[in-house]
Amino acid sequence: MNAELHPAAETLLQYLYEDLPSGRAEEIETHLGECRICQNHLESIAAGQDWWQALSGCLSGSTPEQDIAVASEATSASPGELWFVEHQQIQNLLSPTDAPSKIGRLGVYEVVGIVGAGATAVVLKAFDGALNRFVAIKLLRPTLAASPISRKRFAREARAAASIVHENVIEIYGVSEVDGLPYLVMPYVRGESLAKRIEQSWPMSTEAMLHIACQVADGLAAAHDKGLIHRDVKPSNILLGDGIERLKLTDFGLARAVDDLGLTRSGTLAGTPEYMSPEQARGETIDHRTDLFSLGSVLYAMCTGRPPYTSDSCYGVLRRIVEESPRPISELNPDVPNWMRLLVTRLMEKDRDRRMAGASLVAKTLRQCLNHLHDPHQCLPPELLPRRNPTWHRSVIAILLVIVTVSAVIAGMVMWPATIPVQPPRPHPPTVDTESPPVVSAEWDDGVGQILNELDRQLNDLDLGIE
Amino acid sequence: MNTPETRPSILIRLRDHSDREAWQQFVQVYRGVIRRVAIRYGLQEADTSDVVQEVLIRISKGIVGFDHDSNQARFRTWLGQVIRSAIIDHHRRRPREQASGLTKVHEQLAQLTDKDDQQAFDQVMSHESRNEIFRWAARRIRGEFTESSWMAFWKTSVEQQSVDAVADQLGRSVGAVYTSRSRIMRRLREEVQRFDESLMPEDSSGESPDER
Repeated sequence: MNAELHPAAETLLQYLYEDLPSGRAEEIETHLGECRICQNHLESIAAGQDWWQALSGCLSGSTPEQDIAVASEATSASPGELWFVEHQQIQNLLSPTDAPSKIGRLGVYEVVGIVGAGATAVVLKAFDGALNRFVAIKLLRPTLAASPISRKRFAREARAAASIVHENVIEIYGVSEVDGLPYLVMPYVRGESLAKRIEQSWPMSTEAMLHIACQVADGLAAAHDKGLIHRDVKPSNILLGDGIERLKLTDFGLARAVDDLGLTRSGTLAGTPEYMSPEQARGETIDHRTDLFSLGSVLYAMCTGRPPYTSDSCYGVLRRIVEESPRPISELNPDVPNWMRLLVTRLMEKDRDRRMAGASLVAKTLRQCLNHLHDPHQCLPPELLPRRNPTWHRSVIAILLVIVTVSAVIAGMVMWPATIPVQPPRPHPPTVDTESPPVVSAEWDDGVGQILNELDRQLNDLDLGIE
Repeated sequence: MNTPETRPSILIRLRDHSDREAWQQFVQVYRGVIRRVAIRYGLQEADTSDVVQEVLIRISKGIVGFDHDSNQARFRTWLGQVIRSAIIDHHRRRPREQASGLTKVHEQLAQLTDKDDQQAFDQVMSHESRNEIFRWAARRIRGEFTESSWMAFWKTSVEQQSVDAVADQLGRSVGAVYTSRSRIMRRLREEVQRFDESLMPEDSSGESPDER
């Protein structure tokens, strides 16, 4: 081995940091293949012996694949996990209670505990003594309450959401405030969210996916009719009951309360942006069609078991939403029917003008798909038949036109002056008016401690996933 | 080329409750640490989330009063104490519920409260936190490298296969495998230190790699 060929320490450092011209880097790579001294040297620049020795102990037990698999999960850690930081502040808002199992009072409600939190609000479980039922109370996060705009928005959006009356939108019992902090009271829904369902029992049947998407579309349609946009349609905001027959969409419009404050000082977004539309990701004005994109993303997640766009950082997710197409569903789950993939594509069009036009249309389309699934003789909606190539289409029409014209001319010359009988156009057969399948009503049980247990289980599952 | 990280490490940043990024990353790592340590000291899997929650609440309260000049190693010791006492409290609160494992619980309690075992506990703590931080860092940087580079790193360093064999398997040159594994190691080290600068002994004790 020739000592004069050894690159200088400085050069090796630059090489390690990929800071050398490619020609020089290639020379070093070749040299590294043969030179034991430089191999050791490069490794010691990268990290000390202790580090190298620690690796097998610290990282073994998980395969690199497992590590990749949990990456999205780990990075999507929601601000919900951080409510404990605000624990004391919330405790201070409550007045003392005599009830032994309660942590305090909020208005007429006896608070059982804090059961979770989202970007905007903390969720308390409480008991309404007068009506003998459990309720969920959504309280604006104390850290956001400093801003009067945020407080006003939360209250306004909560009132607007209360005006939506639909079986697939969570009912709002009341909106009030404590120490200037607005909160809203809702039914305490037992059962898991769609996020949990996807995490635990993916893959789902095509029928289940359609049922769920259809109800979400119905709920959105009811809101859109009132001019309200959800803004944050995602699996964790879709509450399933014990079955999937009557889901509830929750958190209407509340995402707006953090619009101005969504960016923390460290530059990270407060919420999970995985289901955002491109126009939302760019911070542009949005309309009801943003919810349709998000619904498409939710469908994508049901099909594939994961959100369409994941990245190491919120910024990365946003960039990918704006710039990239998600990985084809067929690669992740070949069992998803073609028309379903097409439907997702039609909802996840980056250009909102190309998306399906409205939630009611989406709901109608989904019902047609359900009918088709139950009875393959029923037609799929025309939007979901493979799109014809428009240029091909146009040239065929042109050729046909030419043929028709030419034959007409020829026929005219041959048959003239005979008259050509004209056939009246036949009326189209009437389209079958497809009824939606009967929806089995499920009871919403107010079980004690269910949400708490659920949350705990979720925490555990997350942990297990990392192992 | 990466610019050097000028911000203090995650553990230091926790003092600021509004630093969500720091808290989020802290929870990503320490939830697992607390859980593992709790199980090691006799908790049932199902009970660990209570302890996790309790510890996180105690930390968020306690950290405000934490001395600004103190170093990260001291912070980790304090963290260990918080976890230890949360586990002890948990055992004390509900020994009756676990009647079948009562003797075992008492043993665990005795072990936890025994001062001589403090050292053993600290060892478990530092072992588990180191593992979790390494995993966390590995997840964070995984996306920066190609599959083939990552495999080169993983197989040679974590699975400790020989560089020649791995180069052969991956169809890459020996030089390329050394390059990948060193570059990934460097990033991993940066990321681990971003979390806790005092994690690896060579930084705090000044021990040079050659001594080993």
